[in-house]
Amino acid sequence: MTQVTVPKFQGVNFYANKKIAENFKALAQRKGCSVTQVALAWVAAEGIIAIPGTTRPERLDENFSSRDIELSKEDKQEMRAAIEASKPQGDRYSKEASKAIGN
Amino acid sequence: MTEANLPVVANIDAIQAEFSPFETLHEDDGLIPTARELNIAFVAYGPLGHGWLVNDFPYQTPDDFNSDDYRRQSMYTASLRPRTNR
Repeated sequence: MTQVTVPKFQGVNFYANKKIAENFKALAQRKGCSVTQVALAWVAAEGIIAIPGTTRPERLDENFSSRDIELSKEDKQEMRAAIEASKPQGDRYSKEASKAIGN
Repeated sequence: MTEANLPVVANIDAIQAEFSPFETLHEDDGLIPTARELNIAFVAYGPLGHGWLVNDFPYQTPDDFNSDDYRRQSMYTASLRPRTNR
């Protein structure tokens, strides 16, 4: 496995992330919660303990109450598909992006 | 990695690395599967993609980040190998 570093929030990755974020935004709307809450619920659903940094008490409340959000199997499959589709990895690189990172 | 490779002198309860919808590298490099296998808690920093997964993300293009915003410099470690099906 070859590992390379590419700008995380620049170039094609900016738009890849934006696409993933749009999916989380749509899920948040369906669940009636914030994007942040549904993103934290997704991390929790993966069995991972998230440590979201914040400097504001109201954000801390918002983050903590993400524990009440339950994602269905379908929700998780949908988010996973969105993540996979935008993943800048291996054969997922466009030709242009591959060239840009020296492949 | 297998249990045999791990130090026997210390009991590892938790590890911390980045994980978010934008950063799933550690699912593929063995870190998360190994943590699960060994019942070690995986604690994720950057779960919101460094402040991105919020209701009011205002940037439309990469150039909209302020010139001193670290998101202009953050690098992504990509694994160049065929994607595996889950």
